[in-house]
Amino acid sequence: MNGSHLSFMTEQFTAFCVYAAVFFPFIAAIVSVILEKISKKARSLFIISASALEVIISFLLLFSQTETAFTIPYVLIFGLKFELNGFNNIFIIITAIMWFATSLFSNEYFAHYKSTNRFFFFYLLTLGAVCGVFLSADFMTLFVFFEIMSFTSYVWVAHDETNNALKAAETYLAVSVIGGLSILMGMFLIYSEANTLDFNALENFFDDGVNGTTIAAGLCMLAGFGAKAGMFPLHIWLPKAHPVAPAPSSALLSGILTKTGVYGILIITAKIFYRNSFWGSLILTLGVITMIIGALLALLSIDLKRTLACSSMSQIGFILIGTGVFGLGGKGAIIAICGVVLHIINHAMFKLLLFTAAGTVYMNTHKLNLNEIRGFGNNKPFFAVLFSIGSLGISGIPLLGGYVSKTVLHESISELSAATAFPLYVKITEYLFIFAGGLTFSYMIKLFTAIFIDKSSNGITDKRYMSAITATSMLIPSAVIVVSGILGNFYVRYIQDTISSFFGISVSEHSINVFSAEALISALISLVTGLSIYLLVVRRFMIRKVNSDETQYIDLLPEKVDLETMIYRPLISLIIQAMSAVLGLFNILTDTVTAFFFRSGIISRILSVFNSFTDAVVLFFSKTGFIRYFFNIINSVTDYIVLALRKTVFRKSKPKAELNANERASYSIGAFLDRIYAFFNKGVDTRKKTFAQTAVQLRTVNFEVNRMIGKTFSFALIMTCLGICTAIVYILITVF
Amino acid sequence: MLFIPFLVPVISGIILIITKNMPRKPRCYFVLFVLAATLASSIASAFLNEQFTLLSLGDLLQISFATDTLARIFSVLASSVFLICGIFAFDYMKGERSESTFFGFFVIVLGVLNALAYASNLITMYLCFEFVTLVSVPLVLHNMDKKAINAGLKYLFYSIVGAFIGLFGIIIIYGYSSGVFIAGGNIGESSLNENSGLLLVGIVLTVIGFGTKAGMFPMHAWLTSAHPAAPSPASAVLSGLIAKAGIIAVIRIIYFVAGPSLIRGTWVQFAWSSIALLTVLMGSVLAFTEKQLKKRLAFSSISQISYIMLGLSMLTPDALTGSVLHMIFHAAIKSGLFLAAGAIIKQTGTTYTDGINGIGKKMPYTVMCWTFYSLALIGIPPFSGFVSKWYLAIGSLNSGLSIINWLAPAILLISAALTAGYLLPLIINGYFHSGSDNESIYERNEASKLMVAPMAVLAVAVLMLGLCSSYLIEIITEITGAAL
Repeated sequence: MNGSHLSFMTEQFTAFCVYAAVFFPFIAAIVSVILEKISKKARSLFIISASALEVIISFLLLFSQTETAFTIPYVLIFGLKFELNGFNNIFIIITAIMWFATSLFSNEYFAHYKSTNRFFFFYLLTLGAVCGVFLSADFMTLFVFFEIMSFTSYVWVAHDETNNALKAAETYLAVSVIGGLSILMGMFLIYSEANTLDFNALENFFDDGVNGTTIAAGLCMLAGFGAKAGMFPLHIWLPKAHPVAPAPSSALLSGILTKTGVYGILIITAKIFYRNSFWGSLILTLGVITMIIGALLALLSIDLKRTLACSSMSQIGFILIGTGVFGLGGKGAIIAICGVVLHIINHAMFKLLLFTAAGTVYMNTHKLNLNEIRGFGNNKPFFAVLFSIGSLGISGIPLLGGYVSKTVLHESISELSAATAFPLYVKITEYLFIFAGGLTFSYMIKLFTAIFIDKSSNGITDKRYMSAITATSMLIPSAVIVVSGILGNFYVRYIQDTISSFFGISVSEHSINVFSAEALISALISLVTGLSIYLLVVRRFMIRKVNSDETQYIDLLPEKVDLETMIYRPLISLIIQAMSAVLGLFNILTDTVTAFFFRSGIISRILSVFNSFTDAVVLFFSKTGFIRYFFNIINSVTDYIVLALRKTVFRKSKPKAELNANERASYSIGAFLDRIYAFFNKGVDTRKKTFAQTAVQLRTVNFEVNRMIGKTFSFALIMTCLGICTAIVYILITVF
Repeated sequence: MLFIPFLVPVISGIILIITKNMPRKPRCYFVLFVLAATLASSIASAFLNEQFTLLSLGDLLQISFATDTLARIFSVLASSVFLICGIFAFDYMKGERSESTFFGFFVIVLGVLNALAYASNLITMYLCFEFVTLVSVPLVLHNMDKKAINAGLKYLFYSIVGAFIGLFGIIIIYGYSSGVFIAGGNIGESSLNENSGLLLVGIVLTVIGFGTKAGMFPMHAWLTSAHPAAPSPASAVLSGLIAKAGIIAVIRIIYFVAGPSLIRGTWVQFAWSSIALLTVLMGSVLAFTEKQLKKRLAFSSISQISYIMLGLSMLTPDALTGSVLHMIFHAAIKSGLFLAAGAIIKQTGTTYTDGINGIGKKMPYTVMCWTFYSLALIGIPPFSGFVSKWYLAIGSLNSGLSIINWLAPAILLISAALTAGYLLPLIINGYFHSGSDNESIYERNEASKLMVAPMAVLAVAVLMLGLCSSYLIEIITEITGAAL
């Protein structure tokens, strides 16, 4: 760190603060449940002050001595190991700020909700778990808190208890469980390989390269962490879970929980696969795909929160590209990791701001569809300013945070293109990077226009649309975005200094100037691309005129994907569009190509196929009972043998005479009793059964049961005899 | 001192069966006293190092008992789980037929299990093993309807055939050793080399035979009929402990008589671990598709107990540690699940998993306990199941068996995912589905305190056992260190 530590931050006090950051929220969660019984207001205040305390702790940690490790021995298998360094301290600070801001907002958001108690309990538990993930010093600790986090955050998604929410939550849970187990498999392999799970020990162990097992382990862990991060093709939970979750949890899911996945990938990349070209290019490629698909899905969506969710996916793609470049090593590595951290911070802030804004819209209208909420922001200048800080920031307008991080990431890609063996590949990545930045700008313009510029169709005129506290919770991220954007160069330098020791890379010689001419030009290109996409594509093909002065946003993502919509229709329209394209002249070429793509809906269909591919595989296995039949047969083999034995060896013999004799004896006793009964009751008989019948029945049941037990024992005896015979034969053979 | 943990329950069980007309309250106190006394005495014997011979029929046939680490662990485990399930049974069995007989046999089973734990040679162990079967059949038969009688007979049939198959194996092994348990094996070097072929056949027979009790393929089918037929506290101990009798027998034979070096790297190890793996997968797939609550748990037991078998077949210290840990954890978890299932069945009257949507709002504590057990069984840290699965997986990876070494952890995890699939829906539908088609089942609410408290104790136990497993592992290291 910067060498500035406060005198009272001794090692003991730092340890105390680290443990407090992780375990205090767990205790606070229990306290909040108890407090709720006393007063709801006290509970709300308590939650806000608890998260405020977390913020204070996280900033205190910044002034502690560098690189300190703590272990709680005897817990679980290897004990819980924590480490504090500049890198993870940044994550803790963002986490605390996010929680503080959302706790302010949720106060108003949940005012009319039921079972908020459950929500806040799991809200605080998740805070502790996330801090645990970021502060962990080995994979075991990381995994423990990661799993706690997955399960506690499930409750957020399912909170509304509607059918949609439960469905989305089910997807989220399935992805979490399978992802978690996949990480565990990776840990098994790593541990069997290196016999340790400590990050620093692993770094030393894998210093001179990795083998096949380690690659397999890495891929398993990548699947698990990638699923949480929303990496293609495991992103399926993201667009589903965000729209149905309450707004504060959407902000946290998108801003922090996806980052725990990214953090995991960063740790693997830095500690195990650093400078492995296969690994680096794999992450890079997945990052590019995630970035583009996320951005396109966001552009096509007409649901406010779904757009933001897909946007998160796209931004994660940007971060993964940085991670990939970092993993490839070389001169770009330190710039890349710096860009990654910056973009993680910025993205958390954007999404905090934007999802809180979306929550405010939802709070007032109870709707999220762009057609239904359009014009909500008319005459709300303060809200418009806040929203535009978020949307301009994420699009990369200079002097706001997003520009800085995107520029640094861009810088790292261009550093890479100078050193790589595949310059064309890197060049394409660079262009796609700029293009995706443009897409970001265009879908943010789309959102902004819909909410603030379009005329309201159903006249929403709510005077007091948010409380001062909610406004505060949006002002915090806005301030961070603006300040970090203006102090760009200083900010980059500070982050670089803070994180470099964790990655063991010396800070590069030439400092990055984020406001250089090249950087500004590429930002400008990106913005112009975005604006033209908006004007040429969105305006033309995604908005339909309903009548003379009313328009409507079209949902281009089909609900259901079937053969007709997937193949035949696109095929026919493809032929028609292709012919018109060939016959047309060059001056209408651009128009035709874009029309072709968006009218025929090819892109949206391809994207939906990707989107539902994982679903389809799961569906196939669950619908065909193939596995079940196989195991049913195995299961009943022994039963059939027993049945066969029963039908043959133990089949019902018919010892008629004996049974009759017995029946006669029982019958006569019963009949005798009957007579006595008749004598005493003077011939009035109200019984259902005569004693004679009962006696015979009892005798028969008794006989059957005895015989069954007898048969079982006799079978056992036969087996014993067989055994003894075998033994005798064996002894005879061995003796003679 | 050593005979107290098994003589006291057996005698008091006989008293309970004879005095059928004892009033309810004194009987409950008596049972409570017996169970608590047994637990106290088995904890006390855990600190002793004692040995005694009950009956001697010549040098070869001695009925003798001794304490060692494995015996201590199993005896304390059995006594504590029986105490918890016994307390649960007080309210659960209220109004059922012949309560006294049930508690009588319930207590006797505990005594015999303790005897099995302390048995110090093969003959004693075999004797106790047969006794466990005989005294536990009445628990399955308890309802005395057609289903229960059929299930009881099936259980008897499988157990006796299994035990006899095991007996062949014991006879073969007895030819080359004195049958006394010595950690690391008790067969002379020369017989190991000369007669390994025959000995291996004997080992296979014992594993298959005693594996019957542990629900290992191909002799697993009794579990799925016996569990749904028995009353819930009985199913809890049946799955949690009686099935573990098979595990104890296999550990004794492999690690204390035959010696792991005999089968390491042979076809026996390969076949054993493959069968165990198949059972793991089969159990969880079938549990996933099963709709009846207790039957689902029975399939789950088949799968989970085969985890333990798998660990035993790997013959590495880590895997053995994992097996013993999983034996302990699974006993707590599965008893808890059966108790919770019993509470749900008792309160709602439905035995199927669908149709109890919204149960979490009516029986919050029961479903919360179920949540704890489920997370532990899936193996979510920091719950206990995670620790045992970690050791099992690491043990298999280091076993040196080709293919199985990485297939085993993969299948363990696939099975864990399936476990999540068949346990979590009850919680999700219970807590988050607000409406239900059948409102009439919610007339009654949470189970009585005397039923919730034992479940809560087990729920806390499955969490704490995981967090504090280091202490347990230290104890288990004594076994693994000596046996391997």
